[in-house]
Amino acid sequence: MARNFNPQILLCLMLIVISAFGCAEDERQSAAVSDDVYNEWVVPLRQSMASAESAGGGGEVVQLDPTGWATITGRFVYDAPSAPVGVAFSTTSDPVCGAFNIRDESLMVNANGMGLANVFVYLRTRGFGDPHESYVPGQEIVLANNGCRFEPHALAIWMENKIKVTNEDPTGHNTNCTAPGDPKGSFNESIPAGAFIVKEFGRSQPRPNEVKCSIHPWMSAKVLPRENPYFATTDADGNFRIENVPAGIELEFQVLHELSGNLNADASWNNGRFKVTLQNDETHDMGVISVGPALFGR
Amino acid sequence: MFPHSNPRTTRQATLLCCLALATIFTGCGSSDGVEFVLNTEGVPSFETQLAQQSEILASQAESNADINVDERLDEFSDSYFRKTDELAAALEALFGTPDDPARPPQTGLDIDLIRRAAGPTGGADVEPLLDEDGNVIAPGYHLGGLYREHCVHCHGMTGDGAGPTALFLNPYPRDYRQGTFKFTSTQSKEKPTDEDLRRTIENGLHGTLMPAFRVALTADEISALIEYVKYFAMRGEVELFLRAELFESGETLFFEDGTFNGELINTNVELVASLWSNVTVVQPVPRPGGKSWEELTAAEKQESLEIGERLFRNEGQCIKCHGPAGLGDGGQLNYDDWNTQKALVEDEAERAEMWLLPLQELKARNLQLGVFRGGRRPIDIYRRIRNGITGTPMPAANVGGSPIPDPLNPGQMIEPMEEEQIWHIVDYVLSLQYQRGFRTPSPEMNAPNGR
Repeated sequence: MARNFNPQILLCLMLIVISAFGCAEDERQSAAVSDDVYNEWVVPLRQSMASAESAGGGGEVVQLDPTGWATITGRFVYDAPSAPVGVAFSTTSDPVCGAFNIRDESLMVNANGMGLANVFVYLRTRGFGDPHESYVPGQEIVLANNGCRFEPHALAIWMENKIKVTNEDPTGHNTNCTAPGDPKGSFNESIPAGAFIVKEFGRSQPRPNEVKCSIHPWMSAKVLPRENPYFATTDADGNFRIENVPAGIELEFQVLHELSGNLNADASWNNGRFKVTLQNDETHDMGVISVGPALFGR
Repeated sequence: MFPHSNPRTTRQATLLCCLALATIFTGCGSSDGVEFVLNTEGVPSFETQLAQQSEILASQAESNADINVDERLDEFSDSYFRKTDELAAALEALFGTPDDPARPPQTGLDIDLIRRAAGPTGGADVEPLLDEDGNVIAPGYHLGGLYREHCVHCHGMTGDGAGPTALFLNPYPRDYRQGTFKFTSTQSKEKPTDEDLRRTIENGLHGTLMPAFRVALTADEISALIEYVKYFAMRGEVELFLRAELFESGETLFFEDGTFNGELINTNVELVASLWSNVTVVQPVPRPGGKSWEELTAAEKQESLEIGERLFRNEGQCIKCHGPAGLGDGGQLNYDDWNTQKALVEDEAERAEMWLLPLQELKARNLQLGVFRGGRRPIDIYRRIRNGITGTPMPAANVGGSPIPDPLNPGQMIEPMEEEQIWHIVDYVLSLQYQRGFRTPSPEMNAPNGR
């Protein structure tokens, strides 16, 4: 065997393998554009950039005057024969957490009635003046480290309020919040047992911020800061209710879930959105909104 | 396997060999490799998305006869490719290409510095652009090629941290496109200053494959590379925001009538630029008593180490990840921001489809080794503790809060850590490398609940 060994052939084989491997590996999507796209889109945009040095300034938001206030409510239900059960996490790295039975909370369905929890519903339409007096700014909304999980798992918060992250556990936590484009709302701070931190958000987000604990990597929460207080997250039974939303104007609501992203619960919805105009003092019940497992990749 | 050297076989093999070599040097497909790639990290392939969409529509069609699944899938495909073109076009208009870089004025980036770093190795002259009468429309300029000479093999043509050598390195080279940098003097999770980036390029990162360029490059050359890194970071973050606008918020960048959504593009560029211009450098508070470590008496040093050890174990919570002896063995399996999402996808094939580089775990630093990536000066350690390490699980210290329950004396409250006390932890951490082996935790130092 050694006598017949041909190093040239081995080298060739190696090169062939490397070249084939290299090609298979690189499935990156090129950012180069076609000539048509270059001429039709790139050139005019580049020219406008060069000519308008200070072309900035956020778009003017048209001021809308509501005729009164109304309430919108509904219930999300998971349309499957049985409720999914989250995978149990191994939490024994911290003896305090090892005492709790902690499961993945990314898809929470109440086996009794199949209500879907943690769906975000928020008003996307902008341009209202002061909200209804029932909304009080300057409050501290609590996100608790409790039982080695975050409570609540899904939290929407009006930016006029602050978030108070507490630690109710006899063990240390840290809270790592990633808020895209928002240095104020992005933080990763240690929170010893019994301590708390108070933070504010500087940017209204279209999608919830990711909140984690480094010490206990299974811990996860979704926190959505919004510029107005018209939002809700569904409770354990899948119910949501937003009171005192502006009436007499067409409103566009956004519906999100952490697994699906935009939740197109109805085939007529696009990007997880629906429009509705509410009458003064009306309570608009959307009834049962049924969502199938396919939306969640299940 | 090759008992004889059949001349025919050898000729064939040589041919194949040449072909293989040609492939290696030219890359795959038609491109010569000098182009940016789109950031599709964590994004399922088109085929996977189409299959998911098909499943969702099929299930909805069961209860709603009005849904034409095929029609909707065609719409989905058209929209996907159009949006991809829109994203690539906007990025090219704003930031140019590897051999013709541009930058939106709002970024404040210096195009001359960027050009010095961009372009082919060894540099290249770009001819001025003339109109038919020979008038200069755009003046010529020189590309310096510094990035491709010194950085590209690890950090990649697009600054995606996935150059040819990346796969073999631990930790992976930085992917700049999230705009996340670890070793900063700024507040928790803020962008670095130019000086922070300069320190990293000049000194390298100890314990990683990032070398020091202090000798290889001049200060001006490093300035050019700092600008180019910021260029990649801003381009990358603008890309992520525009991708979300297009694919998640359903926005349009280029309209059918030939106009474009300048307002939306500008808003995102300005947002990213503001993240770089609005940073707060954290000025360290003076050491307790105002004396440096060298100026302390032996007894004062001992006292500082003892306070440091107590804080390390209790209020500071350092042992949670770094372990009771600082060996980095205290916590659970963890990941940096570039790997966290990968770890959530269990199926390896699915993971390989969505990310270029395999999952890489992150260990808390073994402090007894005395190797500190962000620098070993006391001020470096102070900043890591005070501000945390952006992009990693390492949090910023909790200082100056409200009283907390005393873990050593249940029922009693203690004052939380003060900022100047961080210096005691710094002293303690820097002492660990000299005390390997004997500094195991004493029982009374261990909080009953493992805090």
